[in-house]
Parts: sequence; structure tokens; C-alpha cells
Amino acid sequence: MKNRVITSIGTIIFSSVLVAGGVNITKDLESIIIKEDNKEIKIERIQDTKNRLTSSFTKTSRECPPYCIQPMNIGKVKTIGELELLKYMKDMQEEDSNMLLIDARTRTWYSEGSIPTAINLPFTMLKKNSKYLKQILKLLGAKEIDGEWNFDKVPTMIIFSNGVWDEQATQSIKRLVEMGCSEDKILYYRGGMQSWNILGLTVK
Amino acid sequence: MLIIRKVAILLLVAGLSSSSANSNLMSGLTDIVDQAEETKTEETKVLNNAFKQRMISQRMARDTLLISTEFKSSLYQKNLKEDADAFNSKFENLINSKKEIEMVVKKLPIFQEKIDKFKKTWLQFHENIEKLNKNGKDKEASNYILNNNIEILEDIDFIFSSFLKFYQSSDKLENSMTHIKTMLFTQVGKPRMYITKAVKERLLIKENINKKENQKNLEDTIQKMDKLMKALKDGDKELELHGTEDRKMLEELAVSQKLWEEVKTIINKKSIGKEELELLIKKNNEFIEAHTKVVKLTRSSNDN
Repeated sequence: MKNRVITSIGTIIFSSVLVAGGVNITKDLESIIIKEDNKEIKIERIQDTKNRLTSSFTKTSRECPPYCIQPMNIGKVKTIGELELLKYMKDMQEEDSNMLLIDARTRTWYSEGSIPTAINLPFTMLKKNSKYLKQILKLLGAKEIDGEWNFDKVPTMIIFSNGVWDEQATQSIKRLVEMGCSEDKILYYRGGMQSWNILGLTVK
Repeated sequence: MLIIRKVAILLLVAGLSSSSANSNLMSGLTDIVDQAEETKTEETKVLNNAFKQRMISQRMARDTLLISTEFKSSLYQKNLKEDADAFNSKFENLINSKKEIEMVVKKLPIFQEKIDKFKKTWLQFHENIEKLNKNGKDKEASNYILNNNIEILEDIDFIFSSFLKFYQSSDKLENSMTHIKTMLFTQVGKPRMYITKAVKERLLIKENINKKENQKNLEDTIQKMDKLMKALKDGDKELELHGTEDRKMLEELAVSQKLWEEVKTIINKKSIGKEELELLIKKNNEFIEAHTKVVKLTRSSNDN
């Protein structure tokens, strides 16, 4: 069960006038405001219509391997896009939310910018030989019973990495499923940081 | 003018912030990842700035020449001592990283042999630096440094390059991602060494020391430097470099390139007077400083 909290208790919706040509998220949604570390972060798109990316996300041709095109679906894990992710990010702000946004990239990538509220859990740390594996799984709420892991109490995890050409999220997802995590406890934001950046969405 | 509804969703207080359980989970995970990163940083500390050693080996030789020709001897004696101490402490860091060395030796058995050999070579080299520091006119010491600095350069290059290539993570994907960077890391700092080597070779020619051989070496160094500077910008298949389109990187590379052109102009002059010599050393040092920014930028960038 994906713990989606759709009730909008504590949610204020306000309206104002928008000049045509503004860069909105959808025709009805300009931005969302979320809280991270007790600070409000406005997630919106860059308003300058002339803005272009200059970062490494402008690259079209990275060497494959390692940077190969990823499948749309990883097993039965649901793949989501930006609007679904934004909805989940909003839901995650609720008191009884049981969701986690996970940036599966190694630290050098993460430190160049990530999606607000995302937590960095590099895919390498979920590997069999990771000395932190048990600690991480326990923190996530998994229980070890007779050498098997039970993921019933683990929050729903939205996992992403750099985008369609990056295997880091895929590896994390496959590893979690391999360890026994139910596929419906995982969501895959395949567009990752490249899609997020190309849409000019707020980066932390 | 089209007027549309602007909707912003603001999540407020009580119901707004993530549950405390979730906060604990997030801070717990952050702590573990930070801890893992710290260990990683510790493990790779040895490599940080390690490639600067190549440049230092050439700067020590350059400064030895300046000392023996009595060009600002006391200043360069001080610099030489600082460089030798820095070189020594970084090398000690490496040889004390037993666990990491063992990992490399497993994949490259000759590595241990190279380290042992280098320990001896460096010990003698260091002794001669000490001698030159006590007496700037000690010809035997300066000759030793001038005759052996290339061996030091080649050994240290082999040691650190091997370390970077063979000291790997146990994860295949991570290694594969890192490999692309490895070639860049091994090459990006080299211009600091090449420029210092070129200046040293020009000084040797100026002092009539093995003039013919050093002229040939100088031409070779200039050619390699030109090729590498271009490769860092535009890429080069032979050097396995992809080049860059990163604006910041291109800006910093342009600063380095300009300084290199200035150094080259002086180097190519038929004779070099005292003022030009001073300018040459100044530009050489400015290049090292400027190009270190390129190295740092490369380490933190994923534009490759």
C-alpha cells in the first residue's frame, strides 16, 4: 500500500493573478511549498524563459557502459513522472506520511544538487558487502528474521538518480527487491535529476 | 492579456512537517552516509593532491638550479625545504596506508617493489636537499638533485597512477563510473609539472648544462604540454580525455593557457636576462596556482 495522504488538512490554497507567459508547473499550479529542516522551500520552475542549462545535464553522449539507457519499468515497480513526484512530495509533508524520497547517487553527484527533501542513500550502500547495510535496513524499519529481511514497516520509497541514462537508481531498486522488499513499496522516478533540471524545477 | 489562476500549495504547521519518526529516519540515514563518506575520504586522502608531487619534484630541481646560480638563494633554499618537507609528508602518508597498499599489491605485485625502491631513492634525494640547504654552493648536492629528479618524477608518477587505477571500490558500476574520471585525474594536474619541467630545462640550457640534451627535452616537454592543454579543453583519444564544455572549467583553463603562452614566449627567447628570469619564475608559480583551480574543479565536477 502506497501510503498516500490525499487529505489536504493544513493545506492552504491561494489564488492570484498571473500574467500570461509565466512558467508554471501546470496550467493550474504555479508552485508548491514544502518544508525541509524547518525551512520553507518553494518548488517552482525557473521563470526566465531564456534560461538554458549549462550544467553537465546538457550532455547527450556519455560513455555506455556505465551510462546506459535504463528500462521504463523495473519489474513491477511503478515508474512516475514529475507531477506524480510533486504530489508525493506534498503528501510527504503530512504528519502520518510514510514515504521517503531517495537520491540513489554517489555523494559527488548528490553534492552538486538534488531534489528538495531527498535524502542521499548511495546505491553502493545497499550492496551485499556494504558494512552499513544492516544498519540502514534497520533504520528504514526492516526486520531481520532468520536471515531474511521483512520490509513490511519500511516506508514507501521514491527512488531516483541522474535520469534515463543512469543505472544508480535501477541498482538500488533491484537490490531492495532482491532483499525482499515488495515492489509496491517502491516508486521509480526515471527522469531523475536531468528531467528535474531540464524543467527548471527547484534544486537544493 | 490572459489571466489564469495561480495556485500555490502551502503546507502549514501541525500537519505540515514530516513526522518525527520520519525525521529520525532521515537524520539517521544521513549520519550513516556521512560516516561512510568520511571513511571514504580518509581512504582516499592519500590521493588528494598526490599528483602535485610530480610538479614538486620538478620545482625542487628548478629551485636547486636557482640556488646554485645564486639567484635569490636564501628564498629558494627556504622554498626548497618547504617543498621537500611537503613531499616527504605526503609520501609518508602513502606508505603508512598499509591496507590500501595491500589492495593495490594484490592486483599489481610490482607495486610494493616500486615503493621500496622509491623509499631508498627519496632518502638520498632528501639528504642532498638538506645538504644544499646548509650550503647553497654544495656542487655535489645540486648535481645529485639535478641528475636524479627525473627518476623521482617517474617513480612517483608510477606509484600514484597505479594507486588511482588499482585501488578501487568493490562495486562494478561505481568503478566503471570512476574509471572515466581516472584518466582525467591522472592527466589534469600534469601541466603544473610540465611547465615547471620546461622552466627547469630552459634554466639548464641557460647554464650550459647538457645543452643539446636539454634542448631536445625542452622541445619534447613543450610539445606534450601543448597537446595536453588542448586535450583538456577539446578532448584527445590518445590521452583518453573527453574535453569539457563546462563554462567555469573553460574559463579556468583559459587563464592557465594564457599563463602558459607567456611562459613559452620567455622560454623561446634566445637569451634570458635577470629580469626575464624573475618574470619566468613568477609566471611559472602563477600557473601552478591557477591550474590548481582547474584540478579542484575537475575533482568536484561530473562533466565527464
